[in-house]
Amino acid sequence: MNQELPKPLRNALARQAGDEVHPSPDVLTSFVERKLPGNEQDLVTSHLAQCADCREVVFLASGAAEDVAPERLELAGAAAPRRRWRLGLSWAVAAVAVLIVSGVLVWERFVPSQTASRVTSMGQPLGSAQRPLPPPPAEPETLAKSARSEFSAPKTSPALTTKGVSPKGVEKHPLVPVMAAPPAGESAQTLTAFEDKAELAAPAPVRQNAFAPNRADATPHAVVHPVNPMMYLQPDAVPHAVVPPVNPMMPLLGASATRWQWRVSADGHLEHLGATDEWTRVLADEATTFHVVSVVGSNVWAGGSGGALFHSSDGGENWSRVAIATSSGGAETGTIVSIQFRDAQDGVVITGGGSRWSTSDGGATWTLQ
Amino acid sequence: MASVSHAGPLDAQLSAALREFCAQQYEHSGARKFSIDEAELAGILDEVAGRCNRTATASDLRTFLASLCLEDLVLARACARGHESAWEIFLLRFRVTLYESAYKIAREESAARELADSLYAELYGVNATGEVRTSKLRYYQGRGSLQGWLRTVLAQEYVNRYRSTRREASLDEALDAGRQFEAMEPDVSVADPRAEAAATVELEALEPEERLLLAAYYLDRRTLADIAKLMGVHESTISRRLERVTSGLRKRIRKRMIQSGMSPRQADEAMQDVDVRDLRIKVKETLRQETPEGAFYKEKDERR
Repeated sequence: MNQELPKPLRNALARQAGDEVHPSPDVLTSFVERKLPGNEQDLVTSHLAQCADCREVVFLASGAAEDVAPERLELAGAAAPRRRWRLGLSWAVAAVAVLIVSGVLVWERFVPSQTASRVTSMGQPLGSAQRPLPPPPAEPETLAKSARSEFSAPKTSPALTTKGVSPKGVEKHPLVPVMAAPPAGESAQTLTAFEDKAELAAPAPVRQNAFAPNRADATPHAVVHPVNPMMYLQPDAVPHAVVPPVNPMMPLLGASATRWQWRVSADGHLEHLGATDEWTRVLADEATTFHVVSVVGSNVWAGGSGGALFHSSDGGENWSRVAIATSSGGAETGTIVSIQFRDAQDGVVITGGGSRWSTSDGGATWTLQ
Repeated sequence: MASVSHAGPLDAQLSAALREFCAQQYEHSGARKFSIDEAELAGILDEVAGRCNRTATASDLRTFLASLCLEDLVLARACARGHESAWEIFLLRFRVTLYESAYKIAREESAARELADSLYAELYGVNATGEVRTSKLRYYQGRGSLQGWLRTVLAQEYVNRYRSTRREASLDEALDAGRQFEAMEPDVSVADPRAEAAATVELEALEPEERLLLAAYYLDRRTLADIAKLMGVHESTISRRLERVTSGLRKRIRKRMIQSGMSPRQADEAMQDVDVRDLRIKVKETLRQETPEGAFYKEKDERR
């Protein structure tokens, strides 16, 4: 493949005459977004094979659809040195892991009788609580204020409320900030302002510091919190937001913690941050331009163009498409721009046209408000 | 209700389908908040459908209309009309994206800013000299997302500029290099016409996507990652496909050359991988697929 083409073939390839008429930006955009119908797709592909300029355009447009470059975020004055911080952290984590493994091996060799019990303790699946849960990382109201100042739109300042916390089980009473819906008439402006801010939102110091008390607990021997600590600070509806893994102990928490990282990419793809710290596209087969993803506990909701609403109740392993039935017997087709769930059952979905649908049974039925 | 003008016997059916679609989607489209009534929305959709020539049947029309990014289309048209609220939304949603995309395309801060600024002026409907014109958003048809369209328009503008500056700069560069009186080097790469003919025929027989793959990889020197991203598949898929296409192509061209009277040895010699640098030919000139001046897509200035 890396070898050169035979010269006659390359000459023939270069000689292909381009059409006089070039596809419009609309058509090229549809090509890049893979929305063209089959026959038109072939026509455009054929043109692109012959036209170096149009190829250049689609490759530039396709390349520009990548995530915001970190250096640009810094230029925009919105970025903390996240990559360097994460790089340093990853080395630190690797070093700690090596030390711990070495320690365990040494321990196993010299104190065999105690090793069995220790291994049993470590062998518990992540998320299994054997000790009382650690206290919430900070006062909820303090965190709510921080989150509000970071994520809310400048003027509308949506009310950020929190549900009560039970020390016995966070899963039953998740402490999830709830982004109250903007007024119906202002939904688009509010959400877009929010989106605009969220796109450039850097990991604020409060996020990192908020978990400082937990770092001491987050050793491999510590009991892992069953709910992602990020949930305390993560807004449940972040249009186009990149939610970085800012918790310094995230690598130690394992897959059960990082599984909560979701985002909608700039080109409308739903993506999930896996255990390997790489974003993976989810629901790639769906011809939907996603606009928003919301996470509450193990429930993930994603919405986008054409009224597409998807739900996973197992953290993104399995998905089902949810139809919002209208009174006329049809289904909602407006682009979903906001999803706000307080818990697994109660939530509100807002479309770009301002329609506000609520459910109190986990999406089985919907009511237009 | 705006008249829906389609020629032919399907006029009534198409008009009915369009009206039905508008009635269903009007509230969801966001047109009301931009003071666009149902009739105006129907007019916009009629124009888009007419331009895209997708009005063969009512069913086709429905499918086409359903595929449009309606909210983006309404927003763009509202902006083109100068609706203040629409512009506020547009700026909030796309301002940062526009400059980020410009940077990714131009790869240089000042050039990116210039590129984005010039497009902004055109989006507002003002050109570089301040002359008021039709907003470029007027040409957005809603077939892809507005965000993607902005990226494409930026890329197109960048390519247009690059091409024009390349032509202007070439003479200066030649003068600077002291090569203004340089004689043209003879093209010694005379290939057997039977080999060229066989390659042309076999190349034309390929699927469009295969030809695009070859052109992008071998002519443009795109990376597998770039091609994979454009085509929405994994790099390894592109790698395998390239391998399959090139090896199959070599075999078929060789066979065709032998059928045209060449001996197997001649065919093999013709198919040898010749390093063009050894032939002292101008590689860029040989490979360039130059588009004729002015042929690049330009919208007509259509005022309504």
